[in-house]
Amino acid sequence: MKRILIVLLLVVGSCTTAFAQNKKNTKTAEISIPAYCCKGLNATIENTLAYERGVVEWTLHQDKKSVTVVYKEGKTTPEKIEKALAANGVRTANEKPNPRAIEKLPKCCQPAARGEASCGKM
Amino acid sequence: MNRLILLLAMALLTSARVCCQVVGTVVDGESETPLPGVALYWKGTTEGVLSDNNGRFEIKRHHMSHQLVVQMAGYAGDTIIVHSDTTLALRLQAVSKRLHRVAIRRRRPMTFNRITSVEQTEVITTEGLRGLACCNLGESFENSATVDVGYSDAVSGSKQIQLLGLAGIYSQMLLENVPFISGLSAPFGLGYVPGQWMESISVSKGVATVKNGNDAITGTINLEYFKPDKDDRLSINLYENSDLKSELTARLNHRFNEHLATGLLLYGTYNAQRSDHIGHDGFSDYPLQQQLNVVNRWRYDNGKGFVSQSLVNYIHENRLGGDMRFERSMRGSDSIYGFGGTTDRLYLFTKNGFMLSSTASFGSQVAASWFRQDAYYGMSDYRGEEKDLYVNLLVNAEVSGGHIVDYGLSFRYSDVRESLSYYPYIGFVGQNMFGDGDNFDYREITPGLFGQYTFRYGDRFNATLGVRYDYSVPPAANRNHVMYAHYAADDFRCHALSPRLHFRWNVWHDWILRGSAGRGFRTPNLIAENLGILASGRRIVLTEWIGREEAWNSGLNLSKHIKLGNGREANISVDFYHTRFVNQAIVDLDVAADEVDIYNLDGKSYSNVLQADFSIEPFEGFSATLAGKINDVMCTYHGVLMRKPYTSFWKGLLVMSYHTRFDKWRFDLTTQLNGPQRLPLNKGTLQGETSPYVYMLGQITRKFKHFELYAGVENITGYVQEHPVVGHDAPFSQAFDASIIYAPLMGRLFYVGIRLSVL
Repeated sequence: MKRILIVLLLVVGSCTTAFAQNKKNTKTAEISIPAYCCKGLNATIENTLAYERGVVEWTLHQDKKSVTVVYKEGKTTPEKIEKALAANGVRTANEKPNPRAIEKLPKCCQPAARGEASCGKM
Repeated sequence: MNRLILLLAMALLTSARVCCQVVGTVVDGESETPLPGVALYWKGTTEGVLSDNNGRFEIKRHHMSHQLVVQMAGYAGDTIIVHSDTTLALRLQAVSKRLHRVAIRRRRPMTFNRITSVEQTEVITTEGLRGLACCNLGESFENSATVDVGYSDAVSGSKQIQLLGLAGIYSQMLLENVPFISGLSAPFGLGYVPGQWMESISVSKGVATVKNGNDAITGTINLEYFKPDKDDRLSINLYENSDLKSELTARLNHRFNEHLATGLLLYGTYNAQRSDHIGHDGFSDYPLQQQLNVVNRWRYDNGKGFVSQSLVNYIHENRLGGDMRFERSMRGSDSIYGFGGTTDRLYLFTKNGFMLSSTASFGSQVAASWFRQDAYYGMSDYRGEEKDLYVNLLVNAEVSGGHIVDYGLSFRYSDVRESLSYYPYIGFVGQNMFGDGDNFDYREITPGLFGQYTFRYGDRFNATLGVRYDYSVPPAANRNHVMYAHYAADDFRCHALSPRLHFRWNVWHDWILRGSAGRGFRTPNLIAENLGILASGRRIVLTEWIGREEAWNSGLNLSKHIKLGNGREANISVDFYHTRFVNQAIVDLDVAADEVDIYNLDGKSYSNVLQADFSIEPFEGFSATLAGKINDVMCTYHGVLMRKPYTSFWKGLLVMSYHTRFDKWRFDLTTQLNGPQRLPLNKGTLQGETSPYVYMLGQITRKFKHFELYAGVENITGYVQEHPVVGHDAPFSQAFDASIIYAPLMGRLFYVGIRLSVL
């Protein structure tokens, strides 16, 4: 039992050091989400980034309609992240969203994601 | 007086607090559903708010502007002049064609919602189903205290459900609100619905509304398959368990354009190995089973309110069980006991609906099925064939004040052919019982008409009063069994009047009281519904013609949805249901250990069920449900009021689920506490009451970007029935009985699987 614990500790330890090492060569990119309409989109954005390889952390800026992503250089690029967002229905500055994914977005975000209408002044 | 002053002061205070504010709600002009995320701002200023999830908003008045602009993408905007503090009820009309379509599409389920919300409904969602190793419908109720699942016998592996302490045949199984599994297909029906095809299952307790026939006495189970226009393009699920049972489920969807979509659902299962871990009696624990199940469905929506959905389903299944040495070629052997069954089923429905006006819609449902089963239990042969046609035409209209009227016509045609050569043991002599090739063919033609009125008083109270009348054309000519010879045609004539009442009352602070009452009828299929008995050496004695069954059901439910702050929620629900039979086909296993008598109810037969549920989400990602149930089910057997066999006196359930952020890891654990059951008189050593047992299952799911992996254990405690086959060493004698089943027949079972989908 003790041996298993030690092995587990070692595994956990090596993982954390690996994470710590990787943090050194990270980069930050700001991805613009012009079709951001309401908070409902946050879950989609966060769920996409959470499963994206190489993404370390992110901050959503609702007022600026953008998300700041910290990513590991060499594992992903801002272009790849934008593509991943678009695949889940989020319109970014350079990528058009997947039409099937748009329908899974909250109602308030759908027309803007399609590019049909803006969200008005809000 | 003091109190009055206090009230006045409070009113003043509250009004002072909301001074200079405009409050209100925004709803969809078509469906009246609240619209969240609607932008409201004062023209020419930057002051604005968004409506919340309930469509509510509050906005401070602005000194510069009196024009409130209301905007929502896809809806016609509006500008309202506001000069004083006021409450607004805004209705927005959809503009773009696309959204208009959405509005109408939402209208249809809304109508169903309004009605079902009157009924006490428990919905098992996709998320709920994912935490279970649900291979099929029979395994999808583990997390529900409402539905009990048990085996019918020790050889066929078929599962049966109970609702309100009564057999599943007293409830109605619908597929997308169209009757799906009934008649002869009921005994194995739970195995015909793969778990991965279902988007959700809703279980409504008590009598149903009159729209889908009169046979839902104890409840309705409505299955929703994935819809081709909404579902992912491709989804695949692969499953393998420690008994070497493999399963493959696939869903393929294609959209031709925005109007037309099609979906193909595939399912195959195969278990290559028989095992005899339970009882070590030479009988396999679970039959060899192969099933192929295919659905093709189409959906057409013209965007102007016409929606058409059609579905075709074909199932082919083979089962082989009994003695471990038994092979398919040994059918009819009187030395090695075997069970075998081949089933084919073709089912199709088409549903078409369109708007008659802005407040009325017309819907038609047509379903047809063909079913054939060829089974044998030892030396007994059973063949069943059923052809069924169901037509239902209904109109839904909203009359003034938001009240709703539904009315329509229905027609049902059933052609049932059953034959049984019954040889339960060597030396058996048939006398006034199922003998050599006895057949129970009948045709039944049932036209019916129904109407219901839904009264609404805002959100506080609504009630539905409905009545339906069904008439069965005398099928005397078809009841050609010799036993029916001395019955007159009038004895078979059926007038069935089924009144149904449902209400929902928001009593006080979201404490919601629901109630239902009504009468239901059904025609029993004596052999198909009691196939388990064929796996025993019991003589079947049938001395009279069994009439149609009739029962009254009523129930009350009190529930409350509690908001705990910081977004956490809890639910509490207590209900009591009472069912009383006027006539019932009584299957009396207590008359003698080697006999079963089937006759019409003579005396009392009732069921009282009290259930309480409490669910809570105490912290992010963790949810727990605690439920308890007491079943008091009594029936008169040969003049003595006794507990109904195989019904747990009580049941306890604890469901726990935890998921990490973004659902990357998910842990599910279900613990069931099954109370004692009464066993009927039998040839075994176990008589009277069984002892309670614990049944646990758990699963871990890991989600990745494109797929998810799951692994789990069923029956963690490994509790099984020690000797499920009574008299296993002499299966062709009167001492044999494989139908006394009260506990799981599968020991601890490990499984792994993978699910992937392409959007």
